[in-house]
Amino acid sequence: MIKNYFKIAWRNLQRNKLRTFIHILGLSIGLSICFLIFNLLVYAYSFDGFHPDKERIFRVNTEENWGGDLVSFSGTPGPLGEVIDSEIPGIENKARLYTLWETMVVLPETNQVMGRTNNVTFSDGGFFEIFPRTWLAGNPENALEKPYTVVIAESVMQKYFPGKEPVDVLGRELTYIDTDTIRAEVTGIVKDFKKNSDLIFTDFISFSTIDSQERKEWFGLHSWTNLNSSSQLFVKTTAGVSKAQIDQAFGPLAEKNYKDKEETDINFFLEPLAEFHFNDNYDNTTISKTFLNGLIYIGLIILALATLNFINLETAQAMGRAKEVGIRKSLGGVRGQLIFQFLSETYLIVIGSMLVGIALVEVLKVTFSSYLPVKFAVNYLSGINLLFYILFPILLTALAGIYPSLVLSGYKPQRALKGELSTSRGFSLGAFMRKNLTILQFSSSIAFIILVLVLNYQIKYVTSQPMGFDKEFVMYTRLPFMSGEDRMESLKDRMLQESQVSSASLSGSLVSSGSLWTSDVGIPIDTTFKEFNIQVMNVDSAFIRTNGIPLIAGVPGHNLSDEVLVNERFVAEAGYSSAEDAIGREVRFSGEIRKIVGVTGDFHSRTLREEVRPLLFTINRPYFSILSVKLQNGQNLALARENLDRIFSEVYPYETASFQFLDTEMDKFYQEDLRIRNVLGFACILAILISSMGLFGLSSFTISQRLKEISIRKVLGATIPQILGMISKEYVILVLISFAIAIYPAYYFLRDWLNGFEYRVDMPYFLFALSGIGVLLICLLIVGAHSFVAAQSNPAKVLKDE
Amino acid sequence: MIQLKEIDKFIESRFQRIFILKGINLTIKEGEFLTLMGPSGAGKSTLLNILGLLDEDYEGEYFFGERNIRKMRERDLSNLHKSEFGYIFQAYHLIDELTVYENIETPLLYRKVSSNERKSIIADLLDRFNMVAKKDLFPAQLSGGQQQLVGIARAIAGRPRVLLADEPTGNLHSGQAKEIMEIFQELHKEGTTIIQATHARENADYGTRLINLLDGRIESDEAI
Repeated sequence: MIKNYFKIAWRNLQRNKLRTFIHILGLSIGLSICFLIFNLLVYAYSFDGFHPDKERIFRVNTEENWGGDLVSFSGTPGPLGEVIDSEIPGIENKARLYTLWETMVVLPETNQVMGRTNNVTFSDGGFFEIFPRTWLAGNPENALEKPYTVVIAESVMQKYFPGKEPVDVLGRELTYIDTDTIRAEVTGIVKDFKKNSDLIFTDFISFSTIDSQERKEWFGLHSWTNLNSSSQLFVKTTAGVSKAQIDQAFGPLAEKNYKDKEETDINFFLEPLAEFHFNDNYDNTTISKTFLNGLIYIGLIILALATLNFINLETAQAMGRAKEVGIRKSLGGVRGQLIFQFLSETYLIVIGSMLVGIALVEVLKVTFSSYLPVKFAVNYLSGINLLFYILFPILLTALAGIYPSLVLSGYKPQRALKGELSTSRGFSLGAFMRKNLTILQFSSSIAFIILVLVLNYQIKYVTSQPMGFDKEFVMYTRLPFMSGEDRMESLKDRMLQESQVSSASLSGSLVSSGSLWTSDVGIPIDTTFKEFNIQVMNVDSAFIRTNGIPLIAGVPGHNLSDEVLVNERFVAEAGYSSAEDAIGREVRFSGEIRKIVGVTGDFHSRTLREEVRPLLFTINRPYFSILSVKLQNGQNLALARENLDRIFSEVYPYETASFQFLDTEMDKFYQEDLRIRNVLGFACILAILISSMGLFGLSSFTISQRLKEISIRKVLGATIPQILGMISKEYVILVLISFAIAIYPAYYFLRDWLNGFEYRVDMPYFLFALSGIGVLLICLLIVGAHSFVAAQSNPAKVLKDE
Repeated sequence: MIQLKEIDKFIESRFQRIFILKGINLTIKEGEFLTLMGPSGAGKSTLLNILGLLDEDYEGEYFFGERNIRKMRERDLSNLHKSEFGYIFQAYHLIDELTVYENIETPLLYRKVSSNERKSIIADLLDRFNMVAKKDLFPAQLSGGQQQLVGIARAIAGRPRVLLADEPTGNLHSGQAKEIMEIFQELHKEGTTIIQATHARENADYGTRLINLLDGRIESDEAI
């Protein structure tokens, strides 16, 4: 029986190639997107699921109350790590990490530089107790007990000591250069984690190395008020102790330690291991749950569109198969058997789509490689994917096939055989459904188009706005942290000697970037101070010229620490009557009185999502970390860059030189928005494609249904334009209803998104209209082409066949 | 075997009922070869559909043997339908996507006949109608007469006791029509009850009883 079903299904598919093509194309696109998103989800949730007792492992997070705004982050004050297990009950184990950034590794025996890495951390032995590993050499009990010892992973051992056995590496030494130089003896080698993990560290220097009072202060681990995201604290709770119990116990502990500090309101809470990958991990590969959820919605919408398409076309074509239903019923087929037959036909299509869809996954992966996690790969034969192959087609078959098969199998045989199906009078559920499904498809297409157009419009707007400074011909490089004032100055001097360079400046941050340093300032009024929040930049006096920031009054400064520059917004906030009035005024900043010597124009030091803040320029030489260079106009930029890199390497022989254009940093401002736009754009194209295919199939069907009517009208004297108009009218109404439905969801989403920008366009309603008109045109084109062919047909021939 | 009592079939229009069948009383005995005649619109096909359980939308009583069709459950009805009736249509109504062999096989599949038995039944039928060489052809590749032969083979494959034929020769020329009628006669001799609707008087001569319908009523009922 099933063989018979599949046979007839196969022949039906072969016979109606257009229908098969549309179905398979539509469903396979939906399927491959769902498959990819499914795998992305599996990947995102696969991190660190393999540690024993993983549900009892937590990272301690700090939560600070900034005047009502709760800001949480994953660092903890150093003293908390010392006392947590003695003061909080229910902690079985604790692990303290102090993560390092861009640490240089050197082999002291040969002075061979192994390069910089982010995988170095200070760690205590507790870390290996909470996250146990296989030890290839060394004693897990006491490997990290003594200062100046290090445990390394197998992968880096092979890099540092190629060809050596783990046992031979024990006792060898490694030098780690950060702001400090640490020479450590290898006391253990552990295996790398094979499965996906956010614990990316490969070099574990004993925590006792930084346990001296002097080191503690240097690393900021000495006080409760010093918060540092490098200082990480993991705990494993005793079995039976809940997260809530521990979170509660943090309250009194925090109160005790912060009670004499009025202005700080700090608390702690536990972050489950399972959340790491979505919050804050160590190599910036977090996937936000919002983005994942967005993807899930888009995947479901695309799949829904493809499914609707299928339902729509199948029910429309059902009449063509009514005869078969009639015959089968007269031969003794019962409804259940017919439903099963049509479902098996659907299943065949779904399986075909699945094969095509899986093949499409790789294409999608290449297209979207920049949006996917770097290490993300699809394992087509993994257990969960095999399950997907089996269950998803069944689910999809049920979703797509049930309604058409119910319609088909419900036909009364004696009428089906006569071809009387459409009741011309009254209400037809089938036609009603079809119209509604079409409207849904068009609505989502229109909504997607509106979203993409408006996003694009706003992104164009913000990227084309004047920033208030001149970013052309400005290049910058990052300098190693605290690399010494003399060395930085000498690099700057070397740069200035180049004829290509018109000016060079050292600063703590770029003129415009994602970084932000805020503080407060006091304006003396009579005997008190008026205080307000400001943004601070640590720059030298060449900064303003190098970045082309207009100076409105005063001088660009003399590199003196008791002089400051401010921007116009600052002047307004402070209540000075004019820029000139501000010159020479004294303000209290960072506990000291400073003199304003210059006023600059306002410029955007952050994205246009944010307002320009009152800004104060100060100078703090040791903390310079950026060298910006303004090149002469008309330079060969690639050549200039090469030259700058060469000079940099001469001054910093162990660093990798990488001069970059200021634009590249600023391009990151709207990366997330561009990402959303591109993903939506892709979804939009698919939605249009699928809906158009659906319309194509549907209109070809309905028009062939109306061929007789068209012929009779032609005989009675209707012209071709009249016939086109008659057929198109119905579709115009469909698109109008779809448009009405699409407007609100699109508006709602866009209003939210636009409100995130301090500088934004007014809601561009003309783009709404444009989207509607665009879809109407596509629709009329498809229907028009079909009806034009139909209108051309010879009425004598059509009517003779009746 | 079959007994109809006061069968009415009508269409409800806005102002009046339009009767397609009115007050039909009819008894058909097992082994009869009955012909329904009458002009277009007399109600021949409608009556045939009611007899064949394809139409349930009528009033009156219908007994098949001892059983009242109107009071049977859906499942029993379906089983009765499968085991007792075979249908032959004017337009053949073969399934275009299936071959001759598969078309004949379809009712057997619905009757859950085992694979071996199916093969032997179909082989016998193909042999009987000289269609062995054509078993893998599709309906579109056959002439009208051949298609109707397949239709007959399919109708009798399940060995029904009643064969219903609606204008079986309506689309055929006289030579083919004769052939089909002779097969009917043969089946009748083998004991099958046959009810046919036709326009052609000469087809009635193959049967044993002739009923004339006019405007939904029985005009005459005579033995031949």
